[in-house]
Amino acid sequence: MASKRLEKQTEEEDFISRLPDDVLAHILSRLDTKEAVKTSIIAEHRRIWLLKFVGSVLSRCQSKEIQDFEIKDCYFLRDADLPCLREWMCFAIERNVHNLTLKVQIRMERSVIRIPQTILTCKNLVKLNLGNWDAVLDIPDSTVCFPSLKILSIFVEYPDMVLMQRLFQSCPVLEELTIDGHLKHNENALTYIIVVPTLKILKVSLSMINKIDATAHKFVIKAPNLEFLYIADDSLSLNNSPNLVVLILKKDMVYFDTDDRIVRLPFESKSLPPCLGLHVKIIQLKIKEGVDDEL
Amino acid sequence: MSTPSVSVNRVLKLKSSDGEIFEVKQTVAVQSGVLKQMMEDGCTEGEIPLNNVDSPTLAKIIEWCNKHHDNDVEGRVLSEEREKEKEKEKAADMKKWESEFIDALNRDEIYFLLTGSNYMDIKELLDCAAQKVADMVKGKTPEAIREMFNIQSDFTEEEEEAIRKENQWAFD
Repeated sequence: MASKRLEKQTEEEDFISRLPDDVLAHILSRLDTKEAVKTSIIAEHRRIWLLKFVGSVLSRCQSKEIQDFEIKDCYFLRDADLPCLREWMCFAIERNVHNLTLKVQIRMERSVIRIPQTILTCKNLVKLNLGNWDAVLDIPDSTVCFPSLKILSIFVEYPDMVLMQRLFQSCPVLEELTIDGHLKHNENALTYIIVVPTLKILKVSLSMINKIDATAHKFVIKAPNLEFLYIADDSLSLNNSPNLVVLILKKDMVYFDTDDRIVRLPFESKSLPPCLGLHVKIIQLKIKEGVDDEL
Repeated sequence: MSTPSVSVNRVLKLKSSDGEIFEVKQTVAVQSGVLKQMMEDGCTEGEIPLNNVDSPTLAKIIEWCNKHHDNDVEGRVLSEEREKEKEKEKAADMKKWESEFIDALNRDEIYFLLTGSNYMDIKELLDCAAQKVADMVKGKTPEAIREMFNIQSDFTEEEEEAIRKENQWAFD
């Protein structure tokens, strides 16, 4: 008889789909971790199950200090789940995370995530990876933040110049910086000034959604301790990098003259530092068809 | 308007989604967070419609609440030590009653009890029903869980394999 009742109410959905989220949470919190993970495979409602599940696992964590905290993929997440992401980040930050990775794919129009402000003073944070997102964060002007951050990876789509500049400037011990992104249309020409005296490794991989925008941005790098530079981008101006030993350029318009053994970089000659040729030991050119040449 | 205080002899008239009226003592009804709030707000005159709870479910819910209410108000004239012992016994009896109560229900009845107790905010009953579902899931393979709850998998074979691989430790 009860079955009839159920069928009448909903023919399409099953037992679990129809349960309210908080009831599901009640059930999940009564399963151990292993059992809860197993349930993630049963169907599409894995989103809710998994969100609740992560929450319940975190709430059982007794540790005061976390070495690595990674949030990856999560392709099932939606806009509405962003507060959960923030909560998870807060959780890691509160526990003095050393390495924090946030590489999630969320089906939403414009991926922007607001990073908890507490990250600025996270004293043990050495490595921060904010892949796949335009990160939004309020950084007070001329303040030293990220006291231990050495490795930073960011992703840009609609980059905020002021924010980026402040971000780079506020990291007192930053050694490795990776900027990835697909630049969407920007109304104004943008210049990114990367002034990081401690920087040793810089990797920039940018693609344009619209080729017309290709000239709309420019990077100016002031990093006297730079040793490794990887560029896959169309606009760059490099200033005074006497320690540079590895330079990798990946693009269509690199000129390479074997007779002179001179690499003509896609910069205007006046912005090419004279010291570059003297110190660079490895120059790798990855031209169009993936042909690699090494000097 | 009506008095906000809960009186022993007054009853509430609860109307199930299919129109049946159930009378419940106010002192019993306070176990429901929603009804308790309504009593405090003084808006329990007449019939209280519970649109998300049908009559068989409401009957079960009231049976539960009556049992738990009876348990609470038994006379206490025993010595402290004897009382403690008695409390223990009562707790054990109650556990037994609860598990018999919940075990007698089929899957769909449990579903309605979950949603009903959630709607009426009866925490102990919700906990008990949730525990029952968790126990049903424990130790089962995903296939068995799907069958039990009539769930259609919406993964492709590849997706399912990928999830299994990712979480291999849980499936071992």
